[in-house]
Amino acid sequence: MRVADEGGLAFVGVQDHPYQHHFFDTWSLIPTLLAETKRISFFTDVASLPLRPPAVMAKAAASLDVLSGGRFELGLGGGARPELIANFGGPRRTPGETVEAIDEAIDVIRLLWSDERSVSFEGKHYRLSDARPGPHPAHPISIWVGAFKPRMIRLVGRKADGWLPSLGVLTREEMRAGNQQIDEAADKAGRDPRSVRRLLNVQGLIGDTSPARSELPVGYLAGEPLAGPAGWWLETIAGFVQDGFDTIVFWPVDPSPGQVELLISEIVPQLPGS
Amino acid sequence: MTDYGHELEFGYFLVPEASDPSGVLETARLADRLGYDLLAVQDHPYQPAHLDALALLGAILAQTERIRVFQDVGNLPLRPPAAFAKAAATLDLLSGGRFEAGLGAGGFLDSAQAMGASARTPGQSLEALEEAIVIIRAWWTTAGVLRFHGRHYVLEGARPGPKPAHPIGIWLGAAKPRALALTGRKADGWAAPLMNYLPPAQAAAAQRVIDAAASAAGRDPREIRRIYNVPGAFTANPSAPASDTDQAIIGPPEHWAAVLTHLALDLGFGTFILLGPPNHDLLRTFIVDVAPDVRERVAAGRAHAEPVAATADHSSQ
Repeated sequence: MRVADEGGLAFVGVQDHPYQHHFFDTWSLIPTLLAETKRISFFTDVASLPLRPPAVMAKAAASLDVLSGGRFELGLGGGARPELIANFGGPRRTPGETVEAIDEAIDVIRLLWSDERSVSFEGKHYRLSDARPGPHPAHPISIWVGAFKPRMIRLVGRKADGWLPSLGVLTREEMRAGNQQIDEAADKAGRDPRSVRRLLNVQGLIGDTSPARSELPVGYLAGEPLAGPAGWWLETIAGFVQDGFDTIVFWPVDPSPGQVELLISEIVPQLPGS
Repeated sequence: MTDYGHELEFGYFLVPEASDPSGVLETARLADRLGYDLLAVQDHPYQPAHLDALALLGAILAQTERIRVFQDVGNLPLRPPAAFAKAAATLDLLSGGRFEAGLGAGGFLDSAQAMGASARTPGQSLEALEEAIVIIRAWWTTAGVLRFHGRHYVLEGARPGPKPAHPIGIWLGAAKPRALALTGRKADGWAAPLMNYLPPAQAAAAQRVIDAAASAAGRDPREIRRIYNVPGAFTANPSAPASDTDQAIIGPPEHWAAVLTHLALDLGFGTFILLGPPNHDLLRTFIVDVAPDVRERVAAGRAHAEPVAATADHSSQ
């Protein structure tokens, strides 16, 4: 993480699975990481909406942004499998309700970041009645949604600031289709599709040879991690860019700083535009 | 009158002023350097001028070495208990055991509801708080799967973790009889209302409610730490002789020391949280001039009182 900060990377994503007993609480970990870095931004990758009230999430996000001088972005998702959410005390929602809840939460969160003196919202899942927004974030915090199915993907095009899927959960064809659906939904909503950032979580390993699968730690992305030498990664990233992505979030399957160093020294400087 | 024999602790009530984040963090570092035991941060998520208390405490813990922190007190209606327990354990682990859990049923239920909290009557809020205490404690100690079926909270089978670095105390903010009784039954500490809301005479009455509830539940009242939030100022002379109806402490350091000693030995308070503007002189005077004096006076008072306590024990046999 310090290597990433000093090496000039733009973002660090921190996954949020509170029901994973060996994980830290993401919202408590990020302030520590912000305090120990200077330039890099952090985002929740992605925050589990059903487990925390969105108004408090908005307040926490704005506070982290204020405390860090504008280095926080909000990745937001509808939560993992319904039974995991219910185990933890969250509401059991159908896929349709999950989309509705994210839709409402985006409104609630933006209202609480707004300049209004008092805001109200009457949704099916969330309500505000004369809540007072504040503090205001230090910079316009983006809301990037972890979306995998068409309805949620269209919601991204309609109102989110970014799309944040993971490679492996979606096939390459689905990713291309997703970007197209976002463009269409954005157009339909009168937005410029280019205003929607396209991020991609890519789990992988930079090295000369691909390790055997059994040697890899178990990740939370369903697919096989990508593995290959730097040149192979450059081609692969160029492919993702062709598919419409502009931000690659590299999840090293080997958590040692060496992988981040390789990313900074071997890959980032070779990318077009750098 | 009562002394529960707690080791004295001194803290500062840090206002989470969103308009001055670097000033807030600087004051936190100052308190740490000066040797304060605790920083207390109020938790009113519906207060637009405040930073989120947990986010701020995370930032503070990352920038300090020794000082412990707590929410004075955490707003349960807006903080689901399992997520709160996990956040507390995380902050405790990341800081080497410097997080304590201040918690309350929520003093401003309407404001919390405006932010989307469930509508609850004061009675239901208290019930929810009692359930939350059970969930939070279980979260920190259960090795396997945690199931909980309450009226307000249901966990269908969570796997708690990580475990905190030290046994985190649950300190309840309580003012009214039912909340005080809950404190006596279940809590590790009582974060009493500010002295201007609850002057010493009323605090003494509240202590009796807590003690009675603790005894009725088979607990020793000494298990419950008593925390007093004390506003005041340092002046050359006391404005008036100290009285148990005072709402603040105003006077020179010796006057402060005498009042706090009385609050410790006669009213049972073990932790004093200073409320006042975040200036260096105020913070310094309290911890450097007042705190050691109070520790000395209380130690002397306890040494003197011990034979009396022994006699009392003897006569009750």
